[in-house]
Amino acid sequence: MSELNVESRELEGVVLLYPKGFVNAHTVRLFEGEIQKALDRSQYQIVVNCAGLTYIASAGLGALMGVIEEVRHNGGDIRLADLNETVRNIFEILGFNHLYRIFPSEVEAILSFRGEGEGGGPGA
Amino acid sequence: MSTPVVFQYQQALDEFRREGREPPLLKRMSELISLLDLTATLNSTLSGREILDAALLIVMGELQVSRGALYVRDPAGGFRLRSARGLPPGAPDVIELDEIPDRPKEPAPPVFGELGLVLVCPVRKADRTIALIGLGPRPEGSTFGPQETGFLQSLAACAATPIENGLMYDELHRVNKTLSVKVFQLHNLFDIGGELTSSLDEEAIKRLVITTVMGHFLASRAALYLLGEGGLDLAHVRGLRPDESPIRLPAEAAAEAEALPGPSRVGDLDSGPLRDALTRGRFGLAVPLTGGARVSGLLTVGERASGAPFGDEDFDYALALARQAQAALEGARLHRVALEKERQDRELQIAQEIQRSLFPRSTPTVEGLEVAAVSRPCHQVGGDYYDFIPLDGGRLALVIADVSGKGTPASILMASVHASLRATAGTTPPAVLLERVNRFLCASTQDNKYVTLFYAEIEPGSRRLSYVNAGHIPPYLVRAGGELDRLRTGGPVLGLLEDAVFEEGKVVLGEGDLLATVTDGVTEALSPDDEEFGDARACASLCASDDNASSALRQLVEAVEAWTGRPGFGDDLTALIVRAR
Repeated sequence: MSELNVESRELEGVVLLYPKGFVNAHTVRLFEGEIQKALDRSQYQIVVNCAGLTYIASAGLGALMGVIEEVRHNGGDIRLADLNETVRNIFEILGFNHLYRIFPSEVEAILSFRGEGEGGGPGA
Repeated sequence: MSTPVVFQYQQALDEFRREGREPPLLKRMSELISLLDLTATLNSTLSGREILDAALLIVMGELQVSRGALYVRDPAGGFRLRSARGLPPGAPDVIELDEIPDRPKEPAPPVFGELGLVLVCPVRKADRTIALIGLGPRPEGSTFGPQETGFLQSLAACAATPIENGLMYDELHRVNKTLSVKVFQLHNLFDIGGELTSSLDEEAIKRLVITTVMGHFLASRAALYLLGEGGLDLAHVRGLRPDESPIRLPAEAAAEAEALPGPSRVGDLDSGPLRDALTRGRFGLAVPLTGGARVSGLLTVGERASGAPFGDEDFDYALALARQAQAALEGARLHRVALEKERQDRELQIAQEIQRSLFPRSTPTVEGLEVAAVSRPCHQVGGDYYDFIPLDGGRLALVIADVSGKGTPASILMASVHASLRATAGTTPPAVLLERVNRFLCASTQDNKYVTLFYAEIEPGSRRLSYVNAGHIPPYLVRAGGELDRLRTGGPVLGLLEDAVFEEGKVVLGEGDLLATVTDGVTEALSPDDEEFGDARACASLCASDDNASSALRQLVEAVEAWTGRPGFGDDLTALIVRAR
């Protein structure tokens, strides 16, 4: 029962994550794990492309909240792109859109990191 | 703000004006066009805010005033300011009126007057005032005449339905949003509930609870403390900056958490170590986890990223989550305990099998001797042991022993004794043999593990018996004539003193003599009044028997059973009896 898979790639020093399916209490560890892999490589500029994200439960939002201090402390950010209506509504009713920058497209999200340092790692 | 239709009317009116028609009529027509404009504008918009703004602006424009306010009846009482232009700073959000006007009033009641509003006009719908329009003075000192107030009433009448619709739309929107949040939260409780009840991995449960609570409150940190030996120990934490170390709770915090009535804002806690620690850790909410009457843990949540304070609804959610977390953690703990118990049972069963294999399968037949023995462990794995070892020349070695402890360690020690005796018995005199076994046990066993043991070698025919008693209950030698000897010669228990020296005792069994060796399960068997069976009763039972070895044994066991009043015993019971024939 594969409810979620997360592909990732890197472009211009930005880590792109592509969650596909549901991020819920059952699948959140996989989602967290992919984010953690980027942090373990000291990559703190992250874009989550939500085009394939059908639904996100509070466990999934918690996974983003759980690392944001560390990410921003290291000069990076997690930005979101290409949200479907369901996910956008969830973000709006909870006020998540005030805490994270959300972009209509992945390209805009990647470009938003330009001039914000490279990777944001402490040594960068 | 004009619509094409209104614009056409305006052009027609301009034409009349150029032709020098009656001014009052022109003015009335101009007002009608304004009403039309208002209706068209208000009907083309839906959001409450836009409707209210448009209504106020149109009224202000038509009556040429530079100050205006629209107050809307608030469900909570009074009228709430929803749109304003040109008001002085510090205008109240909600105003209360003793008397709600049902027609335009000039001068306006003092609450309006203080804001520089000279006229108040009610917006009425079905005999009810749903809003109040307050207006500042007309330009150049002109007043609101009957014509102006009449026109204002018409404007208010046209605006009433759109304003009501707009308010309803806003309310629906708000309710809908609240409902969406509730649905989302409910969905989340189901989501995490399903996952928690199916999980038996304590680490995964802690992690999930933390992640979910952070996602729910959009808080960037949360921690879970669980009750341990030293109080509330940190079990899991998320969201700390890399340069931060997690906050540990002082020992007194457990009692403070115990006293919490339920989820509480950290700012509301009584001052003390708990509040200090949580404030230092930048936590805003503390949720006790209660199992039964006792607090089993504390879930702490950082302040919300939005800065919104934690309210009653948040407490409900936190409580529901804490209960689920507590139940899941308890379930996982019980599962772990059950697994551990199962492992111990399996280990014990193996120990039992090892031990059983150490006892001789049958009693030996030796010319001129009857031999009988019994051993009944009271635990699954006891510490008693006996053995018969056939030696060269038809000789037989008898062993009875009581190893300290129970269970697996006892059975391992017993196996060592068994193996070392079996390997060396008959190769050296008994005293030397036990010195060797003692040294071996001292080297191979843990401190404070020891064995009491009686070892004897019997020659068939001559029935000469050489023995060594290593700290064991002295065996009873009941002579055929009735007198009693105890076989005490030997040395200390085995396994404690490496250099212990043992002495060999010798006796000859005469015809009809009975030799009985027992463990403390016989002599220390307790009556219901906690009185020991003792040497005297053991001797009495043995002396009373002049039958063969197995009946003497049976009588002894029955006497002990009768003494204890129970079919089982308080300790292992082992006895070995030899009768010379």
